[in-house]
Amino acid sequence: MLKYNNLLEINDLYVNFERYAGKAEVLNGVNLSVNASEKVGLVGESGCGKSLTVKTIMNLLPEKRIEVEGSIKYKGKDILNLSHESRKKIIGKEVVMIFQDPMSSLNPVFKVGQQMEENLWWNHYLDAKPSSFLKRRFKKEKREKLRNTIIKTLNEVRIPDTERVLNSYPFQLSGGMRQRILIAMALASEPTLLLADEPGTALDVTTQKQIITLLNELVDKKDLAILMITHNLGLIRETTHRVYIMYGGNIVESAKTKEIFNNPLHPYTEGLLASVPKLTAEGVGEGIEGTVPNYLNIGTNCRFEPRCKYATKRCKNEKPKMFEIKPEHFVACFNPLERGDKHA
Amino acid sequence: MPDSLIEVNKLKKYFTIKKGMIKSSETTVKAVNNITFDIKKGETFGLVGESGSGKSTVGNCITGLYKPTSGEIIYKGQRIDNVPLQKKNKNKAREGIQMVFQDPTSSLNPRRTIRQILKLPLKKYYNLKDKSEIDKEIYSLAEKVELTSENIDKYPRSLSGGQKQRVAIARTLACNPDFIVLDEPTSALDVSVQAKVINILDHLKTKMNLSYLFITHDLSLMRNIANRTAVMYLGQIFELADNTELFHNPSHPYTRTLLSAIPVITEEEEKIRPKDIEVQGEIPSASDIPKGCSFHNRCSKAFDLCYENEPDMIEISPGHKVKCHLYK
Repeated sequence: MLKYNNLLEINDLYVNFERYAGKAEVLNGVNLSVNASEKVGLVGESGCGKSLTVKTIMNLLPEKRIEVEGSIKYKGKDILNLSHESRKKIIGKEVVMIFQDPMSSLNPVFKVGQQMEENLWWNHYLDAKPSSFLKRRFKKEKREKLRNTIIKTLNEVRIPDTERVLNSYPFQLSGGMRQRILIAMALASEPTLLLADEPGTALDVTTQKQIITLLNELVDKKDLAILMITHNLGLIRETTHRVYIMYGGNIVESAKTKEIFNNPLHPYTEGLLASVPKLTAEGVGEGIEGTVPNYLNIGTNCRFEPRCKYATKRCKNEKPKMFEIKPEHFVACFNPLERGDKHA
Repeated sequence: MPDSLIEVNKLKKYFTIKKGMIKSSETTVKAVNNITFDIKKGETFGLVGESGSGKSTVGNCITGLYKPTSGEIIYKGQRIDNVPLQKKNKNKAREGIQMVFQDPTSSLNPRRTIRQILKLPLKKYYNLKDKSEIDKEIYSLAEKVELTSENIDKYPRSLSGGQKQRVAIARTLACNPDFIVLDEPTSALDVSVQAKVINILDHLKTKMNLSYLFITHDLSLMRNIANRTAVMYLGQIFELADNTELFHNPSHPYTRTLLSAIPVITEEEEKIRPKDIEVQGEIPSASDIPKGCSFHNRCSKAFDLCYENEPDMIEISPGHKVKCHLYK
């Protein structure tokens, strides 16, 4: 199989919402890429546009009063310009997503087995028209074949007692179990890229650990690429190869995971890392003053400027661009933390 | 003990759930099952555990939101568990105990401005009548929680999560407390905001002579703020020790399991984390607690005794108590 160096490539992505009060310019030129079988993290506070980025990839945005500019290339094809039919073949099949809250992404009135069956059916018979799809649905032979595939996938995500799980409603299962089912459903179509939106946040640490370990193993085994979105920096450190730090709809820093944690250069990254409570009892740090910006009628300055300790006059008037400060370490800041280095 | 502010003795809280209309049956959920601890003056006492381990129920019993099934809660030498909460002027005994809840959005009245939210407790607990006096007090409260004065006439919906939580803290301070139950006050917040709120809480503690019961599931956070920590599992305390002792010498397999599961961000932390233990299974329902030691089905070190007998609380070193058969 052809290996794509840039499996997913987002170039200058702008997403604006039209509101009564004005234009909310949320995503402001996002550049991001995921290589084949690479684990990439996307970190930031809530309200930074992390979820919006993946929702744009998955085509989950509302259709009205929204402007999307830029390009999202998957295997070289721009999926923003594809027709609905051809986009459907990629999204939900080759590019899949796991959501944060496993309760609200499963339908509460259908049994887990039914939902998994339907999911698989759509993945195998995507071209079938709904009417023929319904007729075919009840053929016994096919149904059994489906059932066996489902049980196989459930075993893969280590769900014990599969018969009981398939016959229960989502609310009868624990959070960890539900998340496993979502992972199984996402991986059923044999995707190449997995977008995981806060996969462990709603769970306990012990369950989170199990889910993340499982996800990691499956991703390694199936040779997938994963874009993991989270605000848990510890998870990012333990699972990913490369990290993008996002703030206010911009990518502000990106580097290899180890490099980011050992040598953060953007003031925002530094602030985030300092506020994580540590087991070594160094205190909780100062936190970062202020809040995520209001995107309505936002200026053209650096979006982190109001919260930045090191802000200068230049930050008030100009928006910093991403530049390579060291090999494979990019930062968008006029005053990156190593004072000795050259500026943009 | 003169120096303990709160004493909890053999506290039990059971909930009964009725099922069915014709053939009705009852199940008992043992949310808190026989726990004993005390909180000293000026101390931050931590309660950690997975969700469903009964941490919040303990907090709610102390504040009087739940009436305990049995056991006693003693506050400043007086029993408070049998004082009814609702009757007027009967809650004098509990006046110094206040609570901050997890979700600031749902614990603030959306129809009141911050000024109105803070005004009522000030009138009631400080007996302030004069409008200018109340205003002065409101501004000083806002200053204590680092809330700018322009936010005081806003509604909660126009504040951010961190600001709302700080309003909730200001509201508890308006009741003139000396003991605050903090039920996961920062779990709905981002790390950068969490740090801010924790620093404010820490600052207030020394400034106003407060004591905290801090309930959280975040062990790394607990490491940084609590003086003593109790680890809860299915309504029981499994390990109770001084914070430094607990994190450097975690003894109960459950504590070690919890510690090993924390995602960390530095190499020094990785060294502290126990590696000899692996996470297994999920927490069972509190209505169906396993026989013997309730942790035996998830414990990698369980042996015959654990399946039959419930272990007793043993003091393995001064102030370090463990409830496990491994220590005898």
